[in-house]
Amino acid sequence: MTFLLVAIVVVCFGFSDIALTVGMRRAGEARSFHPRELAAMIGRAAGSPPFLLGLGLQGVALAAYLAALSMADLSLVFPLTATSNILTTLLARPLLGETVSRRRWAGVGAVAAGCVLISLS
Amino acid sequence: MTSRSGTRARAFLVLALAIGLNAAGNLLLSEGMRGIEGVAKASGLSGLLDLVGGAFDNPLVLIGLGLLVGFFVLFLSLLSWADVSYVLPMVSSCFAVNSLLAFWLLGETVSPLRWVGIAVVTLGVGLVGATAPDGGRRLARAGEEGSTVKENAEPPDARLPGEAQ
Repeated sequence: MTFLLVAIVVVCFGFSDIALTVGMRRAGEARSFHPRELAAMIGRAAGSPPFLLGLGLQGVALAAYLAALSMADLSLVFPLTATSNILTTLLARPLLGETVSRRRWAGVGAVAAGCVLISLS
Repeated sequence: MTSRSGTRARAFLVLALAIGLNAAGNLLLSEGMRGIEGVAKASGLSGLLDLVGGAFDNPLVLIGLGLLVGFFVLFLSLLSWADVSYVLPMVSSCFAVNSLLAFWLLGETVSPLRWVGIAVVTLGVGLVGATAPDGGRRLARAGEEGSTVKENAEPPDARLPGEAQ
């Protein structure tokens, strides 16, 4: 049961990041971080279906994460959910057309492995 | 200026701000939640609701939540122009940053294994940070326009056609 919940967390986080990215790209680039421009960016994104899908999936993932935490230790649950970055990176090429170089893949793997080590201790 | 170093500098700046907001937000949340009466005896659904109600009366928790919302908005702004495969691992480094801050500010002990984890995350951030924040997508676009882009050819650091000097 715990592993089923963790699988839901990983899949929902993985796809939510992809959906949020699609929504943000459609909303247009916001390279400045002036509050007014950021507010306008959120306004443009708020009505877009992929953005709302991404937010919904984040909510489902968070609920499943909390449910998993109520059944098992953080030191078991968190390392498993840290692998959602790897799923997102796998999906980024076919769904978003990103080219992920070997160097970036190595970095993604190292960050995920490091998060696992941090949560194990 | 749309040079590569300008793009990277902008990404680093927004990332630093986002990670700082995340760390400060989490520190305030944990301080605020510890100060709420009756956390230890909260049980059942009504206990949980009381706890949430108490949390929303606590200024530290409210400020912490506000900072985390700010973090999320900056994260979204990065996704609007940078690769998600760049942004996510960089943002994940906040787990290491939060551990370090807990060590420096709250005096929490950090086990040897955790130090190793912090070092490995730092290494990963260095590797991802050395790639171009929006390189993958620009290459993909270049590919659609007919130029040949070899897969896995360590592309982000090659100079792209049409790029400003």
